[in-house]
Amino acid sequence: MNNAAVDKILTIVNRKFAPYPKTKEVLDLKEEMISIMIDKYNDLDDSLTEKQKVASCLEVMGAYKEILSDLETVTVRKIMKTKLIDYSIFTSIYFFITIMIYLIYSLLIHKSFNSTYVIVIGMGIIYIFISSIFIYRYFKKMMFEKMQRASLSFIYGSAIAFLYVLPNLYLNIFHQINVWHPSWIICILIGNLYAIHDAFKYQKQMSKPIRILRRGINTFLLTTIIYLLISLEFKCWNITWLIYVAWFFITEIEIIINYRAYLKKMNERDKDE
Amino acid sequence: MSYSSEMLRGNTETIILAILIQGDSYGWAILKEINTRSEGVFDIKDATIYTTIRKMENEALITTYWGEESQTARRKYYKITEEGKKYYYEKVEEWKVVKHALVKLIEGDDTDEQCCS
Repeated sequence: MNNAAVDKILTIVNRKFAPYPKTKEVLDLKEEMISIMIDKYNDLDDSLTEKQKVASCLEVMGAYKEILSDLETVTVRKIMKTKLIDYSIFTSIYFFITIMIYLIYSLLIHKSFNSTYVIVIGMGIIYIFISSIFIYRYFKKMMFEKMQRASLSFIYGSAIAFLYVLPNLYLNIFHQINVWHPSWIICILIGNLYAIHDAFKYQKQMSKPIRILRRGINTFLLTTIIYLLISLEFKCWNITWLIYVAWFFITEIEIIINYRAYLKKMNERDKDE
Repeated sequence: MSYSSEMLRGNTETIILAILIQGDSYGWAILKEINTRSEGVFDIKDATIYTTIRKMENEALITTYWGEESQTARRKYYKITEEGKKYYYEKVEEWKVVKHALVKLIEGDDTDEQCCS
């Protein structure tokens, strides 16, 4: 069996199994499926082309569709049940403490309910932030890579509320300090951090064109941060837009170089097949 | 020429057990053995075999164990259990009766051959 065929089969099987939790049962099933495919490949008529052979091997996956679905349901349900109980207990305690803090502060310390609603909003934001980490850790445990990746954006999204909205709300209401502007740069900074984190952590899941596109977006966000910082610091808005022009040309050159290399690789692969 | 798997319905388990009673085997080998023994008459789909094997495993008619690794993945071997053997012999007896009746019904042959009791 040639390595290219093995690689192709492994790639497709790995992709097929990507959304499933990597429990022992699922991994065993995957290994079993691969071994059957390889046996089948070795046994297929030599008159078939590589493409036909691989396609024939992949038919085996159809046999496991139902089994895989059953396995997933059983495993996920088991873990989800335990996690949901933990999470429900945490939520109940958390909101009980929130109400207690709110009431004690309003009645005994502040002696008024005026503005103290910020405590509830603040605790709510913190709860969302903690929940997003909890969800991320859950998907990590379950090894649901795609869901884990999606929940990463939730963490960064709630981090904006936690690091930008919450402090600003506090300063504005309790100290009458208005720094909503220019602290909104935090949002762009967090967005940029997320984009870089996501691109590095999940680059294997991305195809080459998407990787190039993501790099473009990341550098754009980085350029924006540099643009804003320089412009705000030196008040030279009339000239700093040139940073974007520089970014545009550099990115364009990079995209062209990468895309040509990608096309060349694809052509070579087509020729080999 | 291969015939519809409709003809095999209800007998796939017995066919697999008939192979496993002669020795442990793995997925693809079972599929090939069915094809060879039926001289290519029955071309069972992969899906049918693996679904049946799973069912048999759940019913404790067979057990499994992993073999040596060959080309990136290990093979999963199937072994018939005592319960599986018992089930198989029952099915063979059942089959003999059914076969006898079917021959009579389809071929209209009433030259009574010996039949199992």
